[in-house]
Amino acid sequence: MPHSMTMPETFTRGVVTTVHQGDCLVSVKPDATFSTVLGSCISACVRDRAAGLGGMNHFLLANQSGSSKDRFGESARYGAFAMEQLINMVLSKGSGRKANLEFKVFGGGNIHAGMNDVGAKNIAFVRDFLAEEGYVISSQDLGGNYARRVMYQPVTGRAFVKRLDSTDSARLVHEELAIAKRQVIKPVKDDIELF
Amino acid sequence: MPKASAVSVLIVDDQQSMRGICKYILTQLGFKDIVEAKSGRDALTKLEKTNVDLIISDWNMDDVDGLTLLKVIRKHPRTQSMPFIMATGRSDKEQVKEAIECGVNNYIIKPFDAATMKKRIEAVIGALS
Repeated sequence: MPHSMTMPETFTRGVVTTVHQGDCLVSVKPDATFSTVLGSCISACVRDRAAGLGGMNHFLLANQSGSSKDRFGESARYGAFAMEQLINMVLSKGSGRKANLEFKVFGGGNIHAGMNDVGAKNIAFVRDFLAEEGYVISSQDLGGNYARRVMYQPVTGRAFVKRLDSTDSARLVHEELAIAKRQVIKPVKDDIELF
Repeated sequence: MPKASAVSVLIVDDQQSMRGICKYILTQLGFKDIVEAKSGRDALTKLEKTNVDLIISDWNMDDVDGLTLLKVIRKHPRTQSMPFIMATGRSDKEQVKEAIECGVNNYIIKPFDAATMKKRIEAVIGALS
């Protein structure tokens, strides 16, 4: 289903929270809007239709080779954890039933013609992950040679996408990759020692 | 000193990708006898038929969650002393205390790597040879 390129009259932004790379946010507030800018990055938006709440994550797998032997490599593991974290947060605050979840996915742009198509590999990852877990993507805006701004209302599940011009896109992709390379190899530090 | 290849492990997670990741890491650490359960209920069914040396379970699951699974396991004489490691998300850290009260042996916070997993397993069953 295509998304609106411009903000429709009926869309009220309400309280806008920016979802940065590496973030995972969930809200039950009717006036909440999550906003993010994606170059090659992916954002998944997950909503519990029965409970009326949802969330958004934002991640990039910098070293995803796309080959099957890399299925459990560091990049893929990082992506799987990012997806699981969002799904679990929505399930635990909502109805707890996977059948009630609605998935929308965005991003994975291929901005730099000269660069390895990181966006396409990230798209493949998120599609494979959701298919493997038995989830259906209800709406998407993926790929293309542009960056995009995504606004998502977690309670209603409405999403709006605005394509960005190419001037900012190239810079954005370099920043995303720099962040992703810092994030991927980073197991959570054990900051509680109870045993 | 237990040998990883001689230790049987039950992985419990309702997400196939997470089971895959866990199995991949355990295999890297030398474990060979790995059984998978796709839910807490499935784990209980598998434990009726087989004994394992170690359970690594997710917390959030659709039917029987990790904490309920732990409580049931700790109630039955045959399974009550089975080493149990709970895998939790960052946001569930506060819940770890509840799991300790219910008899969990250790925990691992996602995302984890092979070195962290090894450390947690060794804290429970002893250094691996």
